[in-house]
Amino acid sequence: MNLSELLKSRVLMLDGGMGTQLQARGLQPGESPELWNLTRPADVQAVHAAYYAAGCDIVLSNTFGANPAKYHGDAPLGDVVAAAVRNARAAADAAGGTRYVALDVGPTGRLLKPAGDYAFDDAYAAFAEQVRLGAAAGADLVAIETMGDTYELKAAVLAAKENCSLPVIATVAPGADGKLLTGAPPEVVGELLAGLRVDALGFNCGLGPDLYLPLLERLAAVTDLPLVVKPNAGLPKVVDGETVFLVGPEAFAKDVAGLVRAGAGIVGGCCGTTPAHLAAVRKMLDAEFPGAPRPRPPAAPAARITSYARAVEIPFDDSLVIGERINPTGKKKLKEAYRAGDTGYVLREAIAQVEAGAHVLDVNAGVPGIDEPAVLDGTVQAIQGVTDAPLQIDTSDPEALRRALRHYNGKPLVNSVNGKEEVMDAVFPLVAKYGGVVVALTLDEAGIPPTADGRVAIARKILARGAEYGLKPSDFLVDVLCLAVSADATSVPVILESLRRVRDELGCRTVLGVSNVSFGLPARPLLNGTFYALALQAGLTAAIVNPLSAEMMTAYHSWRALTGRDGNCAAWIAAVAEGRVGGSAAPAAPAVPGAPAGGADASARSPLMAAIAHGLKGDAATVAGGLLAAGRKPVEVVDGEIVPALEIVGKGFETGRVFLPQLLMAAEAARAAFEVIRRELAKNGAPSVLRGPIVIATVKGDIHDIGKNIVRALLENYGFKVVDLGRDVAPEAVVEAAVRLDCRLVGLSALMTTTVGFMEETIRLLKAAKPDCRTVVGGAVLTAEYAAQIGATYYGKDAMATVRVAEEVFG
Amino acid sequence: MTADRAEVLRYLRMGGAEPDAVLAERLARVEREVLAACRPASYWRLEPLVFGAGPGELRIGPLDVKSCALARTVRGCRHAFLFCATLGAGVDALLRRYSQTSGADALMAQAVATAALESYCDDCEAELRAEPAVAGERLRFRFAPGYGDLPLETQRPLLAVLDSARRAGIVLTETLLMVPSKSVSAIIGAGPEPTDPPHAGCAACGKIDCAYRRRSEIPKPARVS
Repeated sequence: MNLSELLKSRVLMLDGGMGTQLQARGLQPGESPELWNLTRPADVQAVHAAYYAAGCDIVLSNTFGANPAKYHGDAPLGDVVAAAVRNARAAADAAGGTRYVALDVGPTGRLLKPAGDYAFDDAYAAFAEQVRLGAAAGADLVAIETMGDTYELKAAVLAAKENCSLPVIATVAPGADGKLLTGAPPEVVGELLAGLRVDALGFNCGLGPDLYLPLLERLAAVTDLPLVVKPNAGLPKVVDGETVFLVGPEAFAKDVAGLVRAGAGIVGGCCGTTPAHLAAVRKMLDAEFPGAPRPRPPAAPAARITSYARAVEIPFDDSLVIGERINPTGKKKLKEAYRAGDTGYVLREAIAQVEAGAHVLDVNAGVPGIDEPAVLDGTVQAIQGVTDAPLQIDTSDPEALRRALRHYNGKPLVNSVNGKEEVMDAVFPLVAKYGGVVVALTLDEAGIPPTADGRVAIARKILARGAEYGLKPSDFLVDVLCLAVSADATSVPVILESLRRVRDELGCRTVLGVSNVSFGLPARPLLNGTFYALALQAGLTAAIVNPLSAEMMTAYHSWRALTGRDGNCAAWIAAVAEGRVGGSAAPAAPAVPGAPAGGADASARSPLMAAIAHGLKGDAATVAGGLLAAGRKPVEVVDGEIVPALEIVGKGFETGRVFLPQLLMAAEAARAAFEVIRRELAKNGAPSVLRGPIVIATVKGDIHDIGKNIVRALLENYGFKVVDLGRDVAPEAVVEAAVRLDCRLVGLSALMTTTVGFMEETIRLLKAAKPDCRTVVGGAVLTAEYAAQIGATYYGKDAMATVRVAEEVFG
Repeated sequence: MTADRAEVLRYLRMGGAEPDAVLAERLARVEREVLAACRPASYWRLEPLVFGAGPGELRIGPLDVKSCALARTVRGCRHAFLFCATLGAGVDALLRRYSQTSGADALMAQAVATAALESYCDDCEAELRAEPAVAGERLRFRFAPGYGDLPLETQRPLLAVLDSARRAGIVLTETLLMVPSKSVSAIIGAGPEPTDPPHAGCAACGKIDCAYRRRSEIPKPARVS
């Protein structure tokens, strides 16, 4: 079928509720409706026939839950799907006229990682199977519906587009606040689905028809694609087993008319709607909207990127901050973290940048000798687990780009394409398939042009090639490239002219990696800050900078305040209050309040011990730095202050005077002080003094990791090197890590009785593979007896007890 | 959304102690962030409840269960609510973030979220009580799969009957844990005032050395010799 051709002549009508109709024919709550395709085909066909008779153009096959993840009936899935399409087709043929059958694709009933335990690729595989079966059975189009999570939605759309050539329409089920369960507002849904190039998109289920009007308008503001709405007949209410929907056919049709007026081109009903509701809609459509759907004003061109929950528009006359710190070029610690697989380090960099005011985070994993596609892919997914800031996927490796784009939850910035034919050929098809706003570097086979003319010409060429893939100027950020002023004194005037001309002549937004400008010169932050302000004034709409740099954020916030972009200078005032701007302000003196957690003895001894006992991270670091500056030896500070302070707090905890949150805060403060010392030692080339390593994990099947994380924090803060394998970790993975790292102690956590079995298995395998490795286990369901019973060496009653175990093992 | 301060401190295992100024300030910040991340949702069905012939056999609408503890809890009830509630996926995302940045913040956020979920469930129960069909009746203890002898496996049919994924956004992992993690599922009997003393909460639990036990519910130690 040709959906866009059909929509030129009329508003299309989908069917109404299937589940509620089957329940009316005797389907029990919790019973598989899909099995009825085989066991009660006449009933299923009767529902379809009633909808066709009501005037529906398209009915959805009874396959909402017919995917391998959700369907667990006795009959083979292939038979179920084939029968479902057959039932709908039989009703269509009987009805006569031009009738279509859509393969209904509903959610898997699982939540994808990192929110849940289901892998994206597994969800994709489940949808792919359903789509192949449905297409083979002769469906005319695919209707993905009732999605509550953008990630699952993306898996379903990709599966549909890659496993059949049928039109794909996709609808989501929002809550009363217009957002999906995992947080996406309509703008995120619209950008994601438009980027994936579905044929039509919109809403179903979730709300009654009256509540959809504002949401539909928001969707229409971000996409020109045909819009679909299938509302419920109001909100469900259940009394003594009876599900009731309160909006009747006439009221329903009246509200749907408002939706069509607002631009909906495909309408239908969901839960609680009946053939009578759809007949009323048919009557309304024939009377009020006999021709093509209302033409909509085109969506304003915007460069909008998204995460799973947040849409960020790159403005045309303002500017955003893209955090640069997850790019290993020139960053030794990040390189080490990537090589060691230390995702935690990368995640903390991500969170720190967002807290400092970054709107978008650049993510680059280009470290020689690592598997960049795998690492970039994993890093992007992990960062999306801890922040909803959209990401800029930064790589020159097409395979790394492909994998990261595929697994990105949302519509990212893509860094980058340039004027080289080979690069455009590799990057544009990926952007056209997965969606994204593209950074266009103004260089080509001949290098970087020295003039603004040359750079604008390349930008023009890239935009023209992008248009062949359906990309508009608003889908680009042009990077006019920042060259070091130390190498070429004219570089900055050329950059500023290029920025202005890209904006004025091409109508395009711009981006720049600002800090290159000072390469080779002293006091780089000061130069960078001044250049940043110049570039902003020349029209720079996004800058890749270090948001933790006070100089950069000073330039950014002061420019916005001084040019009237910061109403009432509120952002400036907030940034000052939070200490994010201004380079020279002295850190506040430690203000240690009353009674510390560790008891008076700790604070009486020294300011550092007091700061640790109080759990004051910032103060502990400041005081430790002051001690070193005053000439105290690092080892003296560790042995004379940090370790005794921790000892006092630890004893306080064991005797019930200090409580767990205070113990953790004290340990974190100690770690902050220790970090200062460690940096000083590293300067002198002293070896690491960490003990360990200790491998820890929450066992397979268990996704609760608070206890394990507390143990990790405490162990690290007591000077142990901890390799945290995360949660839901297979026994084999624990054994592999213990053997590879020659680890003497493994810590395992389990919260549920149901997962202790995996803990036992892990210990058994570990004993076989590495007999000298000891184990400590903990978690809500464990007791000392239980721990002994499953073969653990130690029982960690609490986090402190685990520290004591580690001290025993490592002496 | 609110979180009961005393409950938060109990989950933090403060053992009745008040937080000092530093901890109190940090806790207040975490509490603000957690409560802002909550997007609570709930769904329930009131179903007829029929006692079967065998011990603990119950039919609650389309749900067949076997649990002597549940049967005791709902004794005298003619119907029961099948119930689920959640704080939403945003709280889990925040917990993941804290688990990377600070164990202390993560611990406090867990405590606040747990208390907030309890208080949200209490608010929901007020709505349940307002259902005309249970006018004049008392709600019994929120009895969840995994309590006592009600198998955790009951989660699957219970949440299927509630269509919890669609109605409240709650799904199960393969190992029967609810996602989002701050979610509750329960069977709540409605009936006349129970004649037995309430068999609920910490008082009903045999683990008397539990760090989370409510102070007011610690029983007098029994003589063992």
